[in-house]
Amino acid sequence: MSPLCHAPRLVAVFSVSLWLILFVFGCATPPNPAHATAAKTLFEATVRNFHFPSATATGSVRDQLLRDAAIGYEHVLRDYPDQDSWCAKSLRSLANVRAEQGRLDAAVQLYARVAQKYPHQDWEVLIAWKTAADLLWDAGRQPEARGFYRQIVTRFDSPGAPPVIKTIVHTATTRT
Amino acid sequence: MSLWLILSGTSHARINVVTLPDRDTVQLTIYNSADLTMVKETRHLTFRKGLNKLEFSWANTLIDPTSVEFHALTHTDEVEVLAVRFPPRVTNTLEWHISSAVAGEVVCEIRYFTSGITWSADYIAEADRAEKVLTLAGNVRVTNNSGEDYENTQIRLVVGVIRLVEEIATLARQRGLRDEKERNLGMLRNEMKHAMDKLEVAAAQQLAEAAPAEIIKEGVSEYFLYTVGSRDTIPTGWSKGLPSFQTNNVPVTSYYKFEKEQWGAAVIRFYKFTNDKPSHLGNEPLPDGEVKAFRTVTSDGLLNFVGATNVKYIPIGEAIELELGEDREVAVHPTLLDWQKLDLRFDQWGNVAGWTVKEVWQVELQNSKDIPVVLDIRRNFAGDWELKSAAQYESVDKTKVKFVLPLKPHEHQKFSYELTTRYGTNVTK
Repeated sequence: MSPLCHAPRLVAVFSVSLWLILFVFGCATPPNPAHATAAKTLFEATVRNFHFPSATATGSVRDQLLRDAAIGYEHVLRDYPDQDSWCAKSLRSLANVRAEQGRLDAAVQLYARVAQKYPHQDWEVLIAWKTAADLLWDAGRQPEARGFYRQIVTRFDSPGAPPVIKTIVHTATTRT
Repeated sequence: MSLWLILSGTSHARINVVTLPDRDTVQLTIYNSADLTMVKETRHLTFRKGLNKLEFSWANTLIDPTSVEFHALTHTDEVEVLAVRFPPRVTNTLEWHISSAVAGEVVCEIRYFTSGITWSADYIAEADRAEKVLTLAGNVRVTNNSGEDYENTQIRLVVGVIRLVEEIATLARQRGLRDEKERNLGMLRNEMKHAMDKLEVAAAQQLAEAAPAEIIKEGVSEYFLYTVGSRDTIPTGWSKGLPSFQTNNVPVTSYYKFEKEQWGAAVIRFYKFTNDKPSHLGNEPLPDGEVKAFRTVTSDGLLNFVGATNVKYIPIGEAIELELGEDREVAVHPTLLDWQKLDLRFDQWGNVAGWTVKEVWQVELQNSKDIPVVLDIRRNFAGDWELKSAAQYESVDKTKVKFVLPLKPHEHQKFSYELTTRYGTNVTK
């Protein structure tokens, strides 16, 4: 076989190596400080301009505000994936929007994903599980709700916990 | 931050959201070192009998939501937090479900920690013409970048060191592991709360007994809760100066120091006063901060800027020396008039093994001011030395002496001294 015959294989090997290098270095890239400011600004603007007003709006105005809020949170998740804190907040807030749109199953999936994608964001994980559990409980889906309540008790029941967390754990304990 | 009382009907569709009255009181207790402020606010809320829902939002602020606490200050046995929920229609908002056995007004306290609020202290010291007494005024500058406006707020500062808090904060900074840092910050908040509770008890006792302010000492920690006398509104993004105290007739000692090794040829002016009762101070330790000193120069109260310096935390009973910089109206000129090498001794090979140096110095002093001054002149010597002078002096330590000389207004003075220094085999001590 002539050396020329190896060319496509070499190109393929080189290409795979390049992607591997890009992948490894891409993953190892530390969080960009400029991203933190941009993510914070976008998140806060979404809350202020769309999500908060939607709480008091009605009809098509409310629907539009919720759609705009969802777009804002999705932008944070897509553009600043290195910002765990803002992404966890955005993912939970997106779940809130889906719940308000009446899409409970989609909301519950997103709440669950907060703990999977951002396990170190304790407070966000707690709120996500608690909100999912309460929504499911209110919807009469107690068995699914119990799963979330159990996770809350397992992870957050601690004698040194702040009062607000103790109250949440207490409620969760009574519902498991 | 916003707070809403929700009057719930039988179904969620019929809930009424009511804006609450403004806060009745707000108190900020600021601990600078850890960028931590405890906020306590009270409100008169009108509850219905049964279930009440109260929303608290921390959106777009630096409030730590895990630290938020609700307490009823009246009807304490009849008002109880049953549950906490996070309503999905808004974000970064918690909802307390509060059971009330009474229908009517309940005084409630909401307590939480926030970051983004800092303070610094500064002082204005105005000396009289003769520099015998001064008026000391303290100010506190509070800077609010917390994202939340605080109206008509009482400011309290944690002055001094809470050692454990410092150690935890340092640990958190050094490690940089997020979850560990969070845990440490949790410990920090608990310690801060513990310290605050102790200080609250001490402050309440003092109020009841009209006793003097108490300093909490715990192991190597010493801290004090310093309450700023005036209240003010501090919107987010603002920095405000608040007057904290003014004391007249504080006895002050004004003096000047000359020490070539420390300040070169400059004569440095000092003011010294004591934080104690005889000085009309001593009610509390004074926080660290910048002091700007002025002196009255005319009978109608015109002031001259004397200098500025930073002072550290001043405990009760301690004297504070303000180093106010160079004063060109007081001059010191040391001149070497004579130098001799004497008593040369040789070893068996004819090399110099011992010798003695004798120097004669003259020091000229000039006071160009219209008030008398006291000069503290320090000279440093090394080795086996001996000093002779007609002027009085005293040893500061093994290598330093000081001449303390009063000078009348516009007086020119001279003194001299003879310094003998022995080297090599001539050394006798």
